[in-house]
Amino acid sequence: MNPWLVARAGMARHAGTYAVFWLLIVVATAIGVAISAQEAALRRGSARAADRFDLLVAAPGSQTDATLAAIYLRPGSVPLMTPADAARALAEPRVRFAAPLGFGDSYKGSPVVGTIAAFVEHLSGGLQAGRMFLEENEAVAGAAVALRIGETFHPAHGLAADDDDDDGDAGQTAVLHEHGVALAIVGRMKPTGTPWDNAIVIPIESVWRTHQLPTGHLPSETRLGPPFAADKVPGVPAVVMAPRSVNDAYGLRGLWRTPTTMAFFPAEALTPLYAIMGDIRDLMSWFALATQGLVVVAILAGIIAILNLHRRQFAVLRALGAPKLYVFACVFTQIAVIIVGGALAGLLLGAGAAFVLSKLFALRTGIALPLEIGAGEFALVAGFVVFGLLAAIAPALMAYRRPPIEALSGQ
Amino acid sequence: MSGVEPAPPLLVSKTDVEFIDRGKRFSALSITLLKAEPGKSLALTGPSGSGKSTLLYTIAGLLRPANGRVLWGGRNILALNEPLRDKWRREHVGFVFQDFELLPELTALQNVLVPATFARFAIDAKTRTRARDLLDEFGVPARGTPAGALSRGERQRVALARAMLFDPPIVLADEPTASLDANAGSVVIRALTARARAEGRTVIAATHDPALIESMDARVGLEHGRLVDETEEEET
Repeated sequence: MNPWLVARAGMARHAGTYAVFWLLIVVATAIGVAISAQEAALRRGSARAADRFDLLVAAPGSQTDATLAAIYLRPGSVPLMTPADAARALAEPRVRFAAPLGFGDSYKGSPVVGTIAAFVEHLSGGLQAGRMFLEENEAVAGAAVALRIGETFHPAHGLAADDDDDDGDAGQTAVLHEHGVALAIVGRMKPTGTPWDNAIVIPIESVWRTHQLPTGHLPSETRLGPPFAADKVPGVPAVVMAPRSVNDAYGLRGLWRTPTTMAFFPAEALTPLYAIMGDIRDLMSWFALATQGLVVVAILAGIIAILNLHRRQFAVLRALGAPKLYVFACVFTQIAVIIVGGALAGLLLGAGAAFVLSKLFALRTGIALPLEIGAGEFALVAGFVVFGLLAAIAPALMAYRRPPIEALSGQ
Repeated sequence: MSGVEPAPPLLVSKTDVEFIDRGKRFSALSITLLKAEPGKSLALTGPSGSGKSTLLYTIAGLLRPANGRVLWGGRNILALNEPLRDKWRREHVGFVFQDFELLPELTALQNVLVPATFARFAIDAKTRTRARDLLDEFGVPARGTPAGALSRGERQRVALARAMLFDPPIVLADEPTASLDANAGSVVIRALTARARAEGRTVIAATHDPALIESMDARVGLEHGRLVDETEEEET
């Protein structure tokens, strides 16, 4: 048997209503897919952003705050390591490099971060244009920073998002005052898919000097980077260490867990965040599933009402010789087309929405979200389809069991 | 595909149909014996509610009465289970309704081919040709036109073509001319009665139409579910 001809006619008769049903399923499915895909992308993106930060050493406090400041350039109130601890950390011999991080300044919404050349090379995997800074008044721009090589800028103390206002207005966001220092862009990092793409990186010495701190070197020295003079190193919010091996990493972590310092792998700080994100995702997924379930129930109620209008039509088909199963198949086919078609379209729409949201998020935060539509999303859609098809049995069974004589007799 | 094998007579014997309405049982049909000869057309007449349609549905095997038999070639159709009755009806009965009962979204040709989708997945070329030929014969050349756009007369002729698709030996018609004007009705009458005589079909029509009654070979009256001119012949 082939009920498609009759099923198609039934759908055409109520094309507008079936289109609304289909759209409801598309939207409900898309919401579920987008939530699932986005949460996974956020985890992947944030984890990848932390890839280059092997071991963080900071003053005792919140690992989360230190991670947000160092990796995601969202500095909050991160205490400074003591100068003595900072000097010892920067002189740590069991690492490939130990890079100080100095925050607090910005330029037109881009954080200005002080560090050493070795860390820039490590983070970016080389430069895409220009050269590394060699002087204190030179800077390397992140891949997404609007400044061109050769341009100069004046960093301001404080951080303000999207501050395009050059009139020194201390109004809406943070208090900004220029240091009166001019820095020149000499190079540009490769894209890292992290907030560092929006950052301007300058020598740590420049940060220290601008803030009237010791520069890490003797006054007669003009070089940049390690080794630093132990008694000339001021406190820093964090030091990024690159251990030589995994074993060294664990050893160093233990070594730098002292009463005055904390050491951790970024994953240690991110894991609890991911747990919370996972819980939120689960909650939102349940809401999305509940929405989908309600949509299916509402649609089935609507279809049952429509099918009641077609009772006589089905009775006539039986009179013409159609078996009961044919009537069942007609009804089931109509519902299946809406559910399967809507779910597939919803999968596409959800993927598209997640893609757009990822791009917007990356523009805003600098964190690239690697979007994947994978087993989780397909399972979500498949589960919805199975539920919908199972639910479709009910109205199909109602039509199957209804004696044709009732409708033929006008009952 | 004109000309069928000589068909056996159709017998309705000792058949009682009861319905329950608001908890009360009432008799809708009580037939001692009704015989329809092959190649003959039989008009069922009577006032509304007399049981004409119920009798047609009983003959078609659409409902199972409390007792009785519908014999076709010595076989009691009512003793078959539902799937077999559906199959028998599909292969042996063509049904024509008062309001045509076409699917307005489908074309005339598609409507005629609907019964071909009941038992097979694909419609073969022979069946398609048969459908086109029937539409040509009944004067519905606009095969690609949606049935909802056809005139009432054309729609009933499409319904006739649908009923004849598998060359059924029995044609049941429930007020086939009630929704038609005189001209359109006469076309349907000719189609029904000519086929009965020329092709040896058994045609039974429930009708109030005097022109249709006049053109049929025999007529039987029904009143309160009973035959007014009930035959006293014993079944053989």
